Amino acid sequence: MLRPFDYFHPNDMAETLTLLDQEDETSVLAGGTDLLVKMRRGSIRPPVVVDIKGLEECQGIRWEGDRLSLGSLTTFNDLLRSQEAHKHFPLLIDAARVMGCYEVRERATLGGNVVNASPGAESGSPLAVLEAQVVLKGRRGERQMSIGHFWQGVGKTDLAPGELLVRIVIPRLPEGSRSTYLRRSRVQGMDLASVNVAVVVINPRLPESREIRVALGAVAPTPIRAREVETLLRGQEITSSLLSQMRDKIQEGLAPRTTSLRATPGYKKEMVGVLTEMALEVLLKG
Amino acid sequence: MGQPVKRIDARSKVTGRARYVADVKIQGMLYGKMLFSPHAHAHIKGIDTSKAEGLPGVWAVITAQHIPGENQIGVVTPDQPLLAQETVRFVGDCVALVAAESASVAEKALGLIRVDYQTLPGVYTAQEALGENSPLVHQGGNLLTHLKIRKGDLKKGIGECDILLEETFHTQRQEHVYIETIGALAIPEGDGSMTILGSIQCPFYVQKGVAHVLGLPMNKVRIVQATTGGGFGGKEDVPSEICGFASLLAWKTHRPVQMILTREEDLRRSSKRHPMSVTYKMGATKGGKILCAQIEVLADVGAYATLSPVVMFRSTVHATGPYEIPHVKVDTYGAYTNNIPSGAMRGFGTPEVTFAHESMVDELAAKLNMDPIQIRLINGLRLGSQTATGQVLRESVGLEETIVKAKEACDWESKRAEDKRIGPSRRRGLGASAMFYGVSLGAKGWPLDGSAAAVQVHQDGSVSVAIGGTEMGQGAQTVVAQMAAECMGLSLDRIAILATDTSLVPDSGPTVASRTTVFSGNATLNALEQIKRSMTELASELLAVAPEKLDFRDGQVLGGGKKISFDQLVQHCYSRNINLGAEGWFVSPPCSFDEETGQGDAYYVYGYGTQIAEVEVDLDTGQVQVLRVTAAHDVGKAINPQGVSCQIEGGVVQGVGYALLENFMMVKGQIQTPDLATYTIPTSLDVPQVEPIIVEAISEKGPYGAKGLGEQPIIPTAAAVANAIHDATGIRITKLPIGPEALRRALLEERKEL
Ligand SMILES: Cc1cc2nc3c(=O)[nH]c(=O)nc-3n(C[C@H](O)[C@H](O)[C@H](O)COP(=O)(O)OP(=O)(O)OC[C@H]3O[C@@H](n4cnc5c(N)ncnc54)[C@H](O)[C@@H]3O)c2cc1C
Repeated sequence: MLRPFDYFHPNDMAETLTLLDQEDETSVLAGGTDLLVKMRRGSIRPPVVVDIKGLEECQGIRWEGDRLSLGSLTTFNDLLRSQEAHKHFPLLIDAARVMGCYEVRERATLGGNVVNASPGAESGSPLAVLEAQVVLKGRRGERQMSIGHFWQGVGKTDLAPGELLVRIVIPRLPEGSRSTYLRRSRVQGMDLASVNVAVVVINPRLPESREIRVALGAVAPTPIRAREVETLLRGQEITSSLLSQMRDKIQEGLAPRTTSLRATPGYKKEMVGVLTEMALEVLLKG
Repeated sequence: MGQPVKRIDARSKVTGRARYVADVKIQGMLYGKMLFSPHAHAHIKGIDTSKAEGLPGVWAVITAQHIPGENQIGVVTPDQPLLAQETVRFVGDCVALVAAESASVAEKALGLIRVDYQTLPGVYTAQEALGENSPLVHQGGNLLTHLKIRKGDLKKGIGECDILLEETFHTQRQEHVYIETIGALAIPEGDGSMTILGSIQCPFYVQKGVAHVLGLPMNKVRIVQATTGGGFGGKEDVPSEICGFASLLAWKTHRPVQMILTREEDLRRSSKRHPMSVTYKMGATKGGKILCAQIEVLADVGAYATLSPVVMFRSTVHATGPYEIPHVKVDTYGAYTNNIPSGAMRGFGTPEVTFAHESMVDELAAKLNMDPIQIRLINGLRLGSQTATGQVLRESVGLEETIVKAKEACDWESKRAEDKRIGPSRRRGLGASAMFYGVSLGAKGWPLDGSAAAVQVHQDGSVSVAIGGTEMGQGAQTVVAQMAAECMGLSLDRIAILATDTSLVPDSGPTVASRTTVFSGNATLNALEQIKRSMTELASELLAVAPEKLDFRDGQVLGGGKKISFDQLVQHCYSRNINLGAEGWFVSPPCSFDEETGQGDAYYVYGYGTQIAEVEVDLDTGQVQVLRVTAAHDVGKAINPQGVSCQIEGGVVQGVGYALLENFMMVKGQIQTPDLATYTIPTSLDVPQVEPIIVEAISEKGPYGAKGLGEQPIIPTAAAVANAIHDATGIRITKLPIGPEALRRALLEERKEL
């Protein structure tokens, strides 16, 4: 049941940051698809809610030189409507397509997904594999950091009190790169991912200079890069014995939650390898 | 009649105008909430409600000691207090109730109630419950029920078999997930009586239960069914508890009290499908004739009996499947545990055993190198066959036709012969499963098996029909209206079906067991025939035509070359004070069951069906996709073929969930799937293509030849899917649900063996 709270809907960044600075227990409201669930459940009871949907600065998808900037208020349906995302980062499209349902995608924002910091979040492994940066703003100024550093644990980020995630920036991939995102879920309709992988292949046609990047979701407290697998695969001919090595290696150091009802740790650890193999099959074809 | 018609309640439901109990708000209404036990088994040492009572906006806090009547709500066995008094036996037991001016105040008050518990050791599986020195859930012991069938000579049967297989199967707890949660609005009337509006499957159960708890005579308790958004058995007995809560609070406060369960509360309180372990020993000759079946069923009943003794009866009677087997021994045990009560759910004890016997029959076929369809045709029940209970089937046995039609429609022969490999790691398979299902309550419920209808023809010739059965989404009102229209020769729009109300018709038993079309239908026809007799008599006089020559057709009464419009005839009747109201009654044909031998005519007639599932298995992930289900069901006469098709589609989808996905999990009595984010059901994207096929083996006793259908379509699905997985991969899975992990593990193990 919802507790009463004060609601603000500022249209100005300075005003927003002032509001956020005043109260300790202020919650930022973007699409509200995580926040309201938690408020109804009573797991958080913020006395003040600041709705940021009026902030220009958090909106829009545009190139900043060699980096694509996605305003934190970009919704998953905005992504699906974005030519740039389709053309340059198809894995974001793959992820957006399976995220929630149409109604949720219309409200849910990329910023909310990132700040909510769920280990299996749909944008998690794609943004990790794309080496995205987050741009944060507070009354004391703006800072930028890699998304891998931003996430610190389940539901934990480096966001300081009073700070806002303004945008997410993604470096352009070299020409001809390919990418995809795959997940397992219990049902084909709306469900959270039991496990997911995001894979980018740079120079897919030139095995010697080929670089393969892999990130995994829902197998650790945050989305993570599978760096050792990347090293293993770099510049190599993809053979079935290499893939079998990959499936073993990818499991090393993974410690999925044991309490998940979606899948057991053992299955998740096997599935990231299986999904990575499926992804490579698609990305290296032709 | 027999034509697909649009449901008479479709428009109101689609436009949102249908009034569910949560839509009803009345002056001065309070909101009720219940306090659950956090423990699966505990002794209540004390309850302090003083703080909650002091909270502004709180009107009443009730515990067991305040109950004016008897604190007992068990529907079959008196083992269930409405409010826990000394002991809590599962985490859905309630210890206190609050009525307040808003739901949020009521909720806050719950948090202020202090209950002092002393936890007790519990039992959490049926096996554990029957072990020596296990903690007792109830003083009388943990074994609630043991039912038996003894037919033929098992030893002899086993001796004559060329092949004998044995296997144990496990099925899980399943939740109904009706779209509307249970809700009630209790209104205390000025004369001391209580009116209750609710989301209810069985108003007569509620009337009896509430009267008992309030200490009122039954004529002081009136139950009106609000539009009800699904039941599937989950609203059979549990609404008596919720209506009991609301009416206690209303009695105490003298104000109307509404209680609408949240989804989480509903999941925690309402009964589920029984988890079962079933062991089958089945033997056959080389030619595929099944000679013997030895079956042991062990069911987890949960903390209270609810409907378990009757559910177990169904499991027992249907344990052999729709086959004629000469030597049969069945033992069915139901054991109490400290889990959520298992109770009524679509199929009522039959889908569980069907998963087992249909897997066994396929295994026999595989070992005998025989086509699975063939073995079913060899052994399937037909006219004159004797069931496991020794009942000789004398009418309406459509099994064979369902097998043949399903087989033809899905292109069985060529598909089974096709290459299973459709990719390096994908396999396709096809699996069949057959079922039968006793219509209505059968021998164990015979004393409840009468139903009434009250009909009147108004002055303008429109007709109102009040029935004792309820509409909960299954389309009952539409078929009753169709039958009434057919009987009176009127168009469907002249018939109104009233909301089910205990003050309009005598106790008609429960709306369960696929009995409403037959029972409410026959009772309605019985009432209409009485009215028709009076109308015919007058028409005969007015038209000077012999009564037997007169016919009710197209809004007219006609015969002998003469006619009068129905409406005119009605006016004549009214002007002569001829009664155009009547009450109809229908009683089940007799049934019997001998407790020692399990022999008798268990149900008066059976429905039959065959489903064939086509699946695709991903060998890497273990994921199964059900592509297509061909479902042929014998329903007697299909009054509304569109309604039949929809029931089949819905049942198959629920069956696919049961086969692959749904599992209401409990660990040490604590619910692991408390909401719909954790308890998953198939989404629209998981729904296979369903091809319903209607088979009509007319039943003499049914209205226009109809039998029941509501439950049948969920019964064979899980086994069909399991058999299709076996066809695709060679792997036999004996435990539901067949999740990707279990299947992958089995696939890996098999690969190791190769
Ligand atoms: C039915 C349903 C289905 C869902 N399915 C999926 C799914 O398939 N995959 C998936 O990943 N998620 C899913 N979700 C979760 C949720 O929709 C996503 O995480 C979504 O992206 C959250 O975005 P939002 O804009 O709604 O965030 P909000 O709920 O508004 O905010 C989430 C959190 O982030 C904070 N926050 C938001 N924006 C900012 C900002 N700019 N700066 C600082 N803090 C901020 C809020 O204070 C809050 O703590 C589902 C949710 C629902 C209700």
